[in-house]
Amino acid sequence: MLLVKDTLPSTDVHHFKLSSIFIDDKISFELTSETYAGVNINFTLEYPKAKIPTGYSVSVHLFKNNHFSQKDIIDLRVKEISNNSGKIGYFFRLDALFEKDILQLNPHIYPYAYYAIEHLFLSEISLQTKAYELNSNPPLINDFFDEDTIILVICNEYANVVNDFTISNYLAPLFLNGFVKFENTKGIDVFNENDLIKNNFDGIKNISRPDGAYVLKITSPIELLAKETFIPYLYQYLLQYKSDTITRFITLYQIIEISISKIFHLKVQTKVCANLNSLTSFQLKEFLGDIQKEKSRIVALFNDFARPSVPLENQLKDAIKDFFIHVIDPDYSDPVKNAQYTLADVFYDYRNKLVHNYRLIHTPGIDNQLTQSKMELINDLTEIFISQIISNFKTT
Amino acid sequence: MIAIKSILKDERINAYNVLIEISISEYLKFARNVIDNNEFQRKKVIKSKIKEILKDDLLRNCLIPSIVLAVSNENIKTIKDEDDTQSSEEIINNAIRSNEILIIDGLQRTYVLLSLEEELLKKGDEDALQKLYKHKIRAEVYLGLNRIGLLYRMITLNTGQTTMSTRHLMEILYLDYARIGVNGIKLIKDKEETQISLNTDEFNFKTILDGFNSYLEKNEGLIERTEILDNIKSLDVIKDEEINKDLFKDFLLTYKVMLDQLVLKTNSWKNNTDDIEEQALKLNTNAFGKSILDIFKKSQVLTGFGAAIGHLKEAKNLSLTDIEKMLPLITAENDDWNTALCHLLKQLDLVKEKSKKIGNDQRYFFKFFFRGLLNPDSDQYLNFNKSSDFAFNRTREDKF
Repeated sequence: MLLVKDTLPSTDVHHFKLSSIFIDDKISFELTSETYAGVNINFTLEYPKAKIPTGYSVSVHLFKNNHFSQKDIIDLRVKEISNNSGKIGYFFRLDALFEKDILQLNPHIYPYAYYAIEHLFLSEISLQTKAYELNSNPPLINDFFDEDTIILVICNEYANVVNDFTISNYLAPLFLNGFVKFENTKGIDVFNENDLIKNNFDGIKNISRPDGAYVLKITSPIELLAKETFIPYLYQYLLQYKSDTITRFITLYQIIEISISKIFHLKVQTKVCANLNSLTSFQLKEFLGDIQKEKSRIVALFNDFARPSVPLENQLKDAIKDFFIHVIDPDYSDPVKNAQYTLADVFYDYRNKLVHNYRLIHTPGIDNQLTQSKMELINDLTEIFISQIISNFKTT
Repeated sequence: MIAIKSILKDERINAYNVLIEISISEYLKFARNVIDNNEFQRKKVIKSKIKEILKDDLLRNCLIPSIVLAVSNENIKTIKDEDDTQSSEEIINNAIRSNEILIIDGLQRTYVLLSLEEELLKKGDEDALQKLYKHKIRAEVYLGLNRIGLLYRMITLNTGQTTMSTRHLMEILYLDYARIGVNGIKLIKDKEETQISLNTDEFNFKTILDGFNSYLEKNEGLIERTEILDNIKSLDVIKDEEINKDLFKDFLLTYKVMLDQLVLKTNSWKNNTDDIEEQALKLNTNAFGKSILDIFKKSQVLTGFGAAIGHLKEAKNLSLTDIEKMLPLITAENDDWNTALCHLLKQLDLVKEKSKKIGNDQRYFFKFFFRGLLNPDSDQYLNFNKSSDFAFNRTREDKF
């Protein structure tokens, strides 16, 4: 369904819903409204008609990705599904479907586009992202949706092979490839422009299918993390909106908190429960004492449970050290010692100093604007880091 | 039967306004047929509550405000003076017979009348229906109103039309050209189901308008998406219309000259991708165009051309006549047009590969292509290959 605002002074909103589909050499969709007679909104799928299989339904999600070209088509696959190479759907630029000669839609991809359009125009809840006021021009799809809107069209029948499938579980690996989910209630304020994300996206495009589409295969987080409602909330309602630098870091750090809380149980289970009889009381006490320490669990997270990629580890470590040197932190005055710090050391230190010693970074003589930009870089890298943790967290 | 009650002249738009009385029965006979004729007006439905009240009132023979009509065929003769009742009656009756009437104001009232008639017919309430049919309404009919006058009156009366974009307004203003053509050139509207021939005598009306808009605005973007006019601005555009009408014609003729020159120089070049041996020129996606005309008749090229020559007019004081004189002098390096065009297509292929909004970036490419090609002070002047490289580099630097 599409919503059309009346022209002022009226404030009425008219609901335009798919009323008929004309199938000729191309397929045209006609939307009409019960409250606006004589006005038909027409959209044509600008590609030669192909056969539409019946018995399938789709769900459509809106994304943006700054690296996605208008002609790109990405075949999304999930590792949890063994059939059909795990294929569940496709990413398209929405406007490309209504412009000539942009996409290469083959008979397999075409039905996804068809079902997506039908879904957008038929659904009771409008996905529209822009308010549109009727005027004398025939409307274009970009009057209703942001120009750079990418739609993810998921075939429900394919996806339902996964129990309780929800796209929310996959937002972290999608984020790592530049895809940010958004909804009609709010747009996207900030994109993570870090090259690591661009490199991931470019990596998808290194190999194309014979029909020109690219393949992205992702995996959902382990069940322990999938149950955490904050994770989808973070990707749907927090990451894409601007927030204060410190607040943003603390928000991101919640993923570390969640993860290390899991590590406590996992470690106790594997190291204690499984070996209870072979542990002396002293060993048991020592182990429990150690695992209670936050730093130990962070080290375990970074080294054993969700090791970051090498480029990320180096960049994040360097960014944090660079920040400490900039704010003249005495713990970072010795280059020899600095070189020995691990990511766990500096990351945990950064978190602690932001929480406990934030005032120190405002020491007179320190370029505050530069401090801000260094913290923003740390945030960008931390966004990637937590997304890697969610995507790669392993229990064994 | 219509009864003429008064004739007054609207001097501003040079048209006669005839006040008539007509029975609802007579009115509905033709209103039903003409209801979809007004391309300027949207057909909004009034709120159901008000509609019901109006229906009740109509059953009690209430008087509704005059409906404003216009004879839509502006070519028919008009009347002599305000006393010419006989001719007025004849013109109006003929227009009614041939459905050449537009409802300028009163569409909602007409909808309500039609809906009430339908309800009474369904109910079989013959008495109420006859009472409704016999009841009279007033209508004002404009005679001899040309398209601009009609628009002007609609806008000043603000008679229910929705806001217009510059694009739509211009489409209406230049509609005559779509009907009669320009010096033998046919302009074909999207609605017509005629295939546009791949020659230099037939063009898509909308595409030419896009190019002309770009010329006026010095901007290759499609103006229809950018500016919705309020009524005051609409009136300003209308005021300038006479000046631009000839300019529109000249713009089209200049473009035709360029196409004719390219066809001549390239010997009606056609793209044969299979013949391309050089790996660097092979395309990854579908070619931008299959022939010289297929390429250069596209909207992206016309808007790029319009924006470029609009810019050159302002920056270098070059008129359309100046541009026209340059066109026969355009060259390809070593007169190898095949390589020049394959190279152009490859560059457009790379634009497509990287672009976030392909159409816009292609327009941008052609703006710089023509700015290089037709600017006497540029290093690319009249050199097709260099202009194409210049356009590609600018697009790559600015857009990717």
